[in-house]
Amino acid sequence: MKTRLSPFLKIFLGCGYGFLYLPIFTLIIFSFNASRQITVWQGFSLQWYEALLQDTVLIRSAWNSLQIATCAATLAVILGTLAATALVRFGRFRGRSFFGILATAPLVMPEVITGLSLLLLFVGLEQNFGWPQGRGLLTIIIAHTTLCMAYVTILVRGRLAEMERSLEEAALDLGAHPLKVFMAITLPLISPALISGWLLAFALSLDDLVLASFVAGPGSSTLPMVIFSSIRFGISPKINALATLIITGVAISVLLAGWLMHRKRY
Amino acid sequence: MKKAWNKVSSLVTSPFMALVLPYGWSLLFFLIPFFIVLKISFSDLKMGLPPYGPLLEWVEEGVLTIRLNFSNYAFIGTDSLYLLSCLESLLIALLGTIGCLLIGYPMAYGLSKTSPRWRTVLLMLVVLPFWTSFLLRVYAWIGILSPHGFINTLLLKAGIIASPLTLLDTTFATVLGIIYCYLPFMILPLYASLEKIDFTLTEAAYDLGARPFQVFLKVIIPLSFPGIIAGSMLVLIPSVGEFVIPELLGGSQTLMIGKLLWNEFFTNHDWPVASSLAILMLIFLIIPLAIFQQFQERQVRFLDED
Amino acid sequence: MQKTKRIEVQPWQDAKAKPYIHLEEVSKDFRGNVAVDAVTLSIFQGEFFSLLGPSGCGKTTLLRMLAGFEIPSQGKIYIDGVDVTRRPAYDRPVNMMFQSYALFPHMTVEQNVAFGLKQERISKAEIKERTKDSLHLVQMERFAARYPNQLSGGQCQRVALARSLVKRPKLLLLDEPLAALDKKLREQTQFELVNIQEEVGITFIMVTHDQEEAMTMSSRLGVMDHGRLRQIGTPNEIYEYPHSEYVADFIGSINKFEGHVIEAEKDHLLVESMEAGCELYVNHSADAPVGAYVKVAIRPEKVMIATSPPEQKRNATKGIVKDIGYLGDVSIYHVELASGKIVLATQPNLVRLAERPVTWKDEVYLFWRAENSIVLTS
Repeated sequence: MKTRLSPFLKIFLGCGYGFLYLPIFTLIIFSFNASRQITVWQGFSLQWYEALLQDTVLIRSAWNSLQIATCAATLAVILGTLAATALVRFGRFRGRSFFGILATAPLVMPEVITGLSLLLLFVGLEQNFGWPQGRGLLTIIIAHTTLCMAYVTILVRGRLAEMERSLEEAALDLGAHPLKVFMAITLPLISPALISGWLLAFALSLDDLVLASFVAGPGSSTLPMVIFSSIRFGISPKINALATLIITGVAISVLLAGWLMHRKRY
Repeated sequence: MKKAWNKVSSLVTSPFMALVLPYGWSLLFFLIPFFIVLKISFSDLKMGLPPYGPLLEWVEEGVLTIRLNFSNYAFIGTDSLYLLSCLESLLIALLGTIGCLLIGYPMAYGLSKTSPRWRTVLLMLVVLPFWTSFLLRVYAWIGILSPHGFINTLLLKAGIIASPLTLLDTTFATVLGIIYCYLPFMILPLYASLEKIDFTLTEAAYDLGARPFQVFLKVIIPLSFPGIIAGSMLVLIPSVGEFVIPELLGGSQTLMIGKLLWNEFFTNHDWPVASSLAILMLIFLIIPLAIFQQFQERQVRFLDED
Repeated sequence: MQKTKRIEVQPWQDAKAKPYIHLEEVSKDFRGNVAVDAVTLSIFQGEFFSLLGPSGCGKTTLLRMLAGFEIPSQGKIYIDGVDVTRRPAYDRPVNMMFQSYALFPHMTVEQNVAFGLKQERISKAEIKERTKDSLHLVQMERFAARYPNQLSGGQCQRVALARSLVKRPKLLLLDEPLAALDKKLREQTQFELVNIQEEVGITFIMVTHDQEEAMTMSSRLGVMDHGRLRQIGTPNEIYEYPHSEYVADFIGSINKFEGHVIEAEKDHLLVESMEAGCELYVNHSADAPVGAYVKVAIRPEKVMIATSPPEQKRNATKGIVKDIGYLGDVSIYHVELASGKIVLATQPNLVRLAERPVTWKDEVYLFWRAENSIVLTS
């Protein structure tokens, strides 16, 4: 039985959420500003959204980012699920703790380090083996997969551990061989974690600046890279407009995902 | 036929196979690169692509030399710029972590006490900002903190100040940025930890005569310790190497290693020095990393043993 | 309340009968911790066999080895003459009913039951029919389209049973099947399980820590302790003729008297006991020479109480009633002997409480028949 929420906590929570969302609201509001200022309101206008649609560089980089994010998220879910399965279901095998560390370390490692190290790897590989030829979408996908894998592993691991082990044993007992058990029993029951893992990986990939900057090549700029260089030029409501679009998109998908998961509750 | 298929499928799903892919990937694309960074940190700067000299060289027939260039380390070791930036990075990261704790703990605590109906929604609201662009959220603060920004305009109009405050391009802004961006990383583990607390323990404490504040200090905080550690590590470790936040909000005054590494790499094209900086960062982070891994292992053991 | 199973033949007594399930010196250790220690066991077709013991005694590990979830460190397991020791669970003619029922939450009751059949090469029509029959057996046909989270505990259990029976396995394993049910439901289900077993004729092996359950339902049971099988026998044999102190203590309650053997012949044993305050006469021989230290045991319900001295001099003693436990149908008398030992005597309440002949602080005489004594040498 938990005690009620004290007024102090209620206010604190309110302020906390305010702190989290105020900057986002300023972004959205000033994307509709008629003037170039982002702090002085001078009337409602959609001009910045129009400008967005005409910015081909931006649009191409957004397309790059979407492709990368889709591939990286999918790869990350596959690898992350395998890793989580190995860690939770395979008992104590040699090298398990080491693998556990390896699987979750990308989560906390500063991205400048991972980015630099991956670039050096690609350069070294190119020198000695001829692959990868130059850097581009593929190298960014590899970099993002490596990062996102760790998140997926943790999510799936939690869900797997929660799942009753005897369900898989019962399926084995009834005559299904291990692969069948995985497909028919395990996967459906961990699917919420797989879906949220994919979405999380997608968002992380879409949003990553540092890794992409290190391992990108000519012609494979991602959206964050383009945004970053334009911020350096100075602030502009066009960026606000872009931010609003992204935020709206994310909000809708999160709500959708949340609603779907809610319905799937067993 | 069925026997052959069974054999194949049990091999495919044997620990070996399910492990080979992620393990192999992690080894190749995460672990081995670190060793390459180590190697490059010992080579010297050369013009051309790639801009570093080789470590191993065949000088003559059958003679192999290894050139270990320690000058990079000497360079960053003696130049006070780099030492200062290390310290400043740690300091800023620490301040950011503490800030996250101070704001995040009451929020997590409050969340753990809300009714289950609201809780999912509220939790989602905490996570939602995290899903929108990191870059753009930092960008938003530029708009808020700049001399013509939101805060200054408000304060000027209200007559509280006469001239705009310098809020942007300061260490303060960097710390604020870190707190803002990493807050969800602190709240979620804290919430998970607080939610698990058996509140009959606090009831027992009350029953024994303790006052609410004492209960909070002596019962709740110690019990949520795993969450505190997890959250702190999740904030501290990446913050030390942060680049975007000090770059956009910190200005030229703020020295953080992440920024320095970036500059060495992209501006000076000095890959060896950048590599030595990376190694230096890793050394700094070994202890927090170890703490984090220890905590992870304990969590895992808790989850896996049943 | 024991439902006596009509076993016309007792195959375990026939030296020529071939066991259906045979475990040969089966052991299992987990990194130095011995869970099962050299268990040899033969079970015959159609038996309802129970493994009984406290938690941690290894019974569940033994069950899991039969199911195929653990591989024995040593020893062999034979089912119907075939060595299945190393066969994986999905390759054995064995099915298991899990303690938590383990119903697949994302499938309906019907899909759950049909799952096992789908793994075999059977026509869809046959699957449908057999599923229907199995659900009919456990009276759950009406619930075929429901999901597990819409069922009560007892209903889940029936579905789990139907699911494990539909494949017509040679052996059905039950892991504490009644543990999660409340008392009334448990009693009812005990009878149902036994009935179903008799109807389908499948060999059942059940693991439980509840002795009453084991005694009620089993044709034979095995008592385990720290990985070892201490004794196997019919409920009657286990209860009336325990071989060891452990088994005697484990089932029901028992009175034990320490003493030394003063006479050891082929047809009787005489024990001198300071504790009992009398000589104890046992009408069969035991593995104990003269002078040996033994314990003679007698079940509380076999101890008779009288207010006047009985005729026999042996197996008779006297004491003061220290306490009476009233259980409604019986009363348990705690009688303190001169030596300070407390003896339990259980008597049915033939008359109502107010008319009870014996009460607290009364001096009473306790006596019992020699045939009911048990000698415990280990």
